Amino acid sequence: MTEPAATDRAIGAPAATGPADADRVPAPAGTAVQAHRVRRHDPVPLSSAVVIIILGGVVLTAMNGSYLGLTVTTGVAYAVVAVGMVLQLGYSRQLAFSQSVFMGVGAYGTGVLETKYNFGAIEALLVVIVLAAVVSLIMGAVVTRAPGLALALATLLLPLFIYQLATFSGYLGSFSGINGVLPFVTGDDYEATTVRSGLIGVLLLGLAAAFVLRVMRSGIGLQLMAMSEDEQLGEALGVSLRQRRLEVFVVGSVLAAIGGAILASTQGLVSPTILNESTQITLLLMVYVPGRKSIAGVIIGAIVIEYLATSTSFISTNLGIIEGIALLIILLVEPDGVAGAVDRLLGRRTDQWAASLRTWGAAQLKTGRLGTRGGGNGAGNA
Amino acid sequence: MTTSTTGTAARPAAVPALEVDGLSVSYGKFVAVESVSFTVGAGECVAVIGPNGHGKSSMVTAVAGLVRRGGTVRVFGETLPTGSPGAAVKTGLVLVPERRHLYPDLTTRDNIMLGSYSHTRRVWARQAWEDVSSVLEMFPELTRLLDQNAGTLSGGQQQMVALARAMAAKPRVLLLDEPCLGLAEAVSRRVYEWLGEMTKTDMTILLVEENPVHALIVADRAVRMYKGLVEQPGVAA
Amino acid sequence: MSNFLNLLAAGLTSGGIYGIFGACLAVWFRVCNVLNLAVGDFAMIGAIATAKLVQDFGLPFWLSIVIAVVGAGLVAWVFDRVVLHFAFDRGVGAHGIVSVFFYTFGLSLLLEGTARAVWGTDVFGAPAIWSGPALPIADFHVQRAGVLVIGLAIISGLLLWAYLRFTVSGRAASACGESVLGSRIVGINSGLFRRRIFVGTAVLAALFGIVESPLSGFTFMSGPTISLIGVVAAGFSAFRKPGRAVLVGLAIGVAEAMLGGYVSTSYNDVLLYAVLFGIIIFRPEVLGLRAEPA
Repeated sequence: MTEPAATDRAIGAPAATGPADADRVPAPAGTAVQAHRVRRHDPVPLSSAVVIIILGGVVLTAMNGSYLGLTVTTGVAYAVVAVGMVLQLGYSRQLAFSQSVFMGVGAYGTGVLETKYNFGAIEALLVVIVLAAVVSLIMGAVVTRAPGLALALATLLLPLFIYQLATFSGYLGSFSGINGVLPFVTGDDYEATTVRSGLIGVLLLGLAAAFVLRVMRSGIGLQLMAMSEDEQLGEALGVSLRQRRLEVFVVGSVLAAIGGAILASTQGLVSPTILNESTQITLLLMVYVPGRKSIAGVIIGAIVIEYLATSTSFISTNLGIIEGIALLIILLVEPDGVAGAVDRLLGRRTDQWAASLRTWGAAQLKTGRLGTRGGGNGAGNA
Repeated sequence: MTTSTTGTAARPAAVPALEVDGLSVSYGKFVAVESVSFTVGAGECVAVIGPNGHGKSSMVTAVAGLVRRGGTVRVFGETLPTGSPGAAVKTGLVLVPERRHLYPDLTTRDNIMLGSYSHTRRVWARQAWEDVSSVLEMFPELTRLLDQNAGTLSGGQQQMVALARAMAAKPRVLLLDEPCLGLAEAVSRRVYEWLGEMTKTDMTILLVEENPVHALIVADRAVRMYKGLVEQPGVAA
Repeated sequence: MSNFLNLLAAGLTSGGIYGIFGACLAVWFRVCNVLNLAVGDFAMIGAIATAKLVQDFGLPFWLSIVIAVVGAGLVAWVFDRVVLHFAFDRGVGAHGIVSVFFYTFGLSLLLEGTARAVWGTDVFGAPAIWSGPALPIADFHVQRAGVLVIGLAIISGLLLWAYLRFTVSGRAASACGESVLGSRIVGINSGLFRRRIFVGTAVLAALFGIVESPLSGFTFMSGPTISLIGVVAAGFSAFRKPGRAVLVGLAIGVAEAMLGGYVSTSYNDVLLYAVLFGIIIFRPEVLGLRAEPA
């Protein structure tokens, strides 16, 4: 994605009460250098990736390939998908319910390439990423033309017929799915294999989180927020709606495919249930309950929900009740999820990065680095 | 001699049509209206004037029961409960809101007919319409638009429909919030023409208007709001 | 020819369910701009509760139906008072396009989870209201339950259409969905309309579940798929016209049956959903969709 040129309206304007209030805010002296430093050296994406990788590595190593470690790795697979959904559903409000389908693309792609064409695990992963990108680009070029509710309805239908296609296809293993999927890395024994493959999953999660954070903390992220608040206004400010919608759809879909590949490699098989609507429901819960705008929230949430689903018999039997109540409470009390509630308790905003972004944006405008098209309209209420 | 439009018995002159006492409106921590008090006599037309964003619309929507308020509102001596627009309409207090808020996918006929919702006993929409169709005498230009969806009308036509809807509710006290907002000059003149006719009846009118020149043409007196407070109650027009 | 007519009868029967759910969804969306994704779960409650009351508690059939239907209505009423009232009347919580789907999505999860916990994972079917062998009509046969479903779907669709088209109350209900403030200023209580229609459609869905369950059976998971097809049927009526939603639902059911009979029993749903998907994406104006709500 290319960095957009911004409008000549100050990104750092305070919450406007009328057109007269959105005047250009001159950046303080010395800010140009500081803002430039903020842009070039925004530490958050990279440091987040490092934290995720280190923490994940420590946890998985400590679990030493146990059943709990396997559960955590499965949770990591879902977390990768959820990170993409933060961009899609959380910030862009693109209600596309197609992530389970692309998880299936990733999982089935991995399974088919390895078992039928003798690809290695990492090779299969790379091919699956390209495949998911191409498929989502083609599909996205079509589906993202539809207005919001139409897109949501159409993608609600997707799991229904894709699932049936897969279960009736002998090539895809019909109801049995595909067995014999390779782990990413083979170790000396089962435990070592589980740990090392899990570490690859954690590495991918860290990279996914860094990428999404980088996008969200850029001018493109501002555009996405502007679009999600008011598409007409965003377009009037020069945001290329179709391009951004397509990009968001592709990113979300590719990350979903990566999650599917991790899942297949972790479990050693591909089950057709990955394609059905229950997977999509689980993914939505993994995003909305922890907090649809919080990367950390959805990562922790995905792992916790995956753990709960396989934990005690009481919880897994009654998981639907727990999830339903949790979702309703979240919707009513804290639409930004558990992460939003935590942030409020701690007295800070989830999107504090917007403040530094405003400073950067104002400085960019002053120095003329941002052009006259395509910028955001000030941080919308995230 | 004034012409009654409401068909109700004359009230003793001493009972004000509208009494607002200590009205306050807050949106969270922001105080939009602070302890406003004024009265409007029966048959009077009072204009509420003042700059944008100083509480005029908040005040009038609170009087109409659309937002929660502190203080008291009485219509011909009857106290209105807070936050209950249905109760307000039943006592004869009807609001024509800023930006009209019509039902865009319903026809002009249905929009007007629904003005009578709170007092009609009819089950069938056609009969309810027949009961109120006489309001078209005040707005003959709407006759040819009855089957058109309200969302497809021009701004001026929509304002006429909003006024007709209010009249179908058989108001004793009519609140108008910026009735000419966004309208062309010719249409604004038509609205004020109609308002002028209404002031000659026993209708009580509270008119929120940013343009004091327009307002004071029809109003008997004005109330000025500034920063949520009534600054000059009862300034004669 | 008899094969065609048998398929037609089967298609109209399943289509009747899609259609009535579509009508329930269309009416409620028209009133409050929210999709009831739990409509299929109310049908599930009606069917399974009736079956259990008759089989496990030995209650008379008609009493069981009344209890099940009233129970479904009560669940809807409680949900509206506890959740929807705060969300839509008090302005608490999430809004915009999220609220279009997720409140009733949460309800659907809750109902499914509760049904699973209470009733388990078996398949249940309520006793037939009109028992007996299939009715012979010319060269084909129609299940009696199917006749009930089709007949009730058409009658319900007509009644809902007439309510919205000809009555003051129906017009007021439509006004609620078009302008909440506009309806309040004329004394229309939009919250009351929302609640009444939510409860009414829950009761209707429960009744249909009871009528249809002898044909196909219900499990705790049966709700979402039929809800989804109901959403599609409602969508093709622009989420506003219950009569048209019934017709679209019937058409979907017939298309499903014909594809299964003449093309492939395995891939009939695949083809059908793919066609619906294509129509929604390429011709969203068929759904009469306006811009995404703010």
